Amino acid sequence: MSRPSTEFNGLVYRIHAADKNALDMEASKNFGGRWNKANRFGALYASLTKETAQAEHASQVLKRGLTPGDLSPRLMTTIRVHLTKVLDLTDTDRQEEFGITKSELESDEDAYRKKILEVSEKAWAEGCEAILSPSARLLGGKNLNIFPDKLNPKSFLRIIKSERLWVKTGNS
Amino acid sequence: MRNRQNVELQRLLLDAKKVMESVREQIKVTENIIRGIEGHLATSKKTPRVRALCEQPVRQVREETIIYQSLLKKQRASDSKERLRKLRALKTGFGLSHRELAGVVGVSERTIFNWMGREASLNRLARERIDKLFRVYEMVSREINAEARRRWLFSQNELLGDSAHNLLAKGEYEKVLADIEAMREGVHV
Repeated sequence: MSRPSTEFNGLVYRIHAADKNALDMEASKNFGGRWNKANRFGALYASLTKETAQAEHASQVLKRGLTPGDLSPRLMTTIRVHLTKVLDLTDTDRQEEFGITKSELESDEDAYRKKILEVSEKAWAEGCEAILSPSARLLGGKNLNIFPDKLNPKSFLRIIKSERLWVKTGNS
Repeated sequence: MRNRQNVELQRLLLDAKKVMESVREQIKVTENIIRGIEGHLATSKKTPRVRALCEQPVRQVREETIIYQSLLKKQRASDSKERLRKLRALKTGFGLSHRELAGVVGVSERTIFNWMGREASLNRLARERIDKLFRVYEMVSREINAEARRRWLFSQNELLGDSAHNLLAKGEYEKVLADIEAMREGVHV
């Protein structure tokens, strides 16, 4: 079954350790993430706004018993993205097609997390370059979960800039 | 009476003769060995070149063995010191008590006391455990501020389903390292 896909053109944002390459995805491949199963394929996680990127970052840290202020310096990197085959799961028609709802996409329950991974596995197997999804961390926020190993020749990811992320700590 | 004394004397003389024969036999064996050695030496004296050729490598091997043994001893001492340094770094870096350090290394508190009290020789398993824990510590010390490291170690990590401390005590170093690396990369969870 061929599923409709859309192009994506625009800027995305991601937060990472200052000594990491902004386009690196090896750790996601080893550890797995919300949209990729460990040891299957890697994913580059990005958000459509800086606020969403910050909400996602804060959530990752809190789940590990830390706060953003506890970490080594972070960079907020802006990336220009041009992709030709993106599965838009913010679209209710696409959600229906994949048998998943918005609340399931935003859930942290194990059963729905598993369902999300099944959807990503299908999309990846069908050659999708990325999945556009609602953020589970910021209401109305959107993420672009990119599969770099599926990029078409005309698609590209280009780093525009990286800025130091300043985090408010208890002392400041 | 005199007869009885003569018989007794003859018995003693007989025993003494047997002892003397046994001693002479032993001396004969020893003399044969010495003669054999002398014969070998005489032969090698006749061929000084062969003797010189043999003597030098033998001496060299002897000297190398002594040097090697000394180096090995130094290396062992240095390894123990290095492991001790790592243990101290783990203890200070995570703010651990002896008991907590013992828990994370997976040994008894007494063992930790022994290791830290003197330059103890550690077995292979202990050395490997300390090295792997130190790898985790090195990464954590680059990634997490000093005052938050202990909290990180003992907090329940939702993504790992346990605390890093418990996982490390179970020997799941790679899982903990992969989690830190994923956090560094900014993997959404």
